[in-house]
Amino acid sequence: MLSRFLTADHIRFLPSVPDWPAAIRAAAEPLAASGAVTEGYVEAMIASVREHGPYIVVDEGLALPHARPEDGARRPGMAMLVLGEPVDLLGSPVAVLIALAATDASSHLDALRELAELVWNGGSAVVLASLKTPAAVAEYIKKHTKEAET
Amino acid sequence: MRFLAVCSFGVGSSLILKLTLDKAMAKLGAEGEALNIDLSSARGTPCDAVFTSPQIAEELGAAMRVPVYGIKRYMDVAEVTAAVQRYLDEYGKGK
Repeated sequence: MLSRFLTADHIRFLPSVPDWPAAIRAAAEPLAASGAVTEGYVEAMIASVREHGPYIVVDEGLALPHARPEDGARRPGMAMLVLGEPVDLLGSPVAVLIALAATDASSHLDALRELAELVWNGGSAVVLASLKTPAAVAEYIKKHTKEAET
Repeated sequence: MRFLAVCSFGVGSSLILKLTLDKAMAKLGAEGEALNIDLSSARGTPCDAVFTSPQIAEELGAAMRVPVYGIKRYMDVAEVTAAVQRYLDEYGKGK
């Protein structure tokens, strides 16, 4: 499931971004472009961090921006941004952002489970960032995740 | 025991935290379940302990009758395991 969301065209590399809201917008751009989320959803991701703090930083260097389904998520999906130079997200340096289009509480559970397993088994932000190209990251994810049985 | 993994919406970070709690509980041999839930529903949901971000822990702490643990990195198995261990040490006896 994760490898179906994070295909090469949903993975972007940028040398740097001016600030963390720009990083979230850039990470979510493929989702907005395909219509999986609205612009309002993207802005809600940013507003959520302003309101509730940097809890979207789930592991060293790795952030998982998302908002409420009703903020404008139309289809489940994910998109990844890898930064050459980490951006400061309210005190935490972030090099990899995975924007999450959450349409309900469960449709992306398998993909998140695979993402957690990937990170726990060595696929940290540092490792993902070292891969240099979207195709290499997509290939790494495909190789290192097991599809859920159902 | 029943643990709640709480984030503001209950659909993203709290799911990650739930998965990490599952792993931590399995590691410690703690029986029970971890549920992910949004901040507003958490207030009325019966449970034994709440795990959430340090900031939400502060917002929620006074409103909950159960212990609330702030977790900085939701995917950090070591940090979450330490928090579950703290709960077991302080409240786990007899359960």
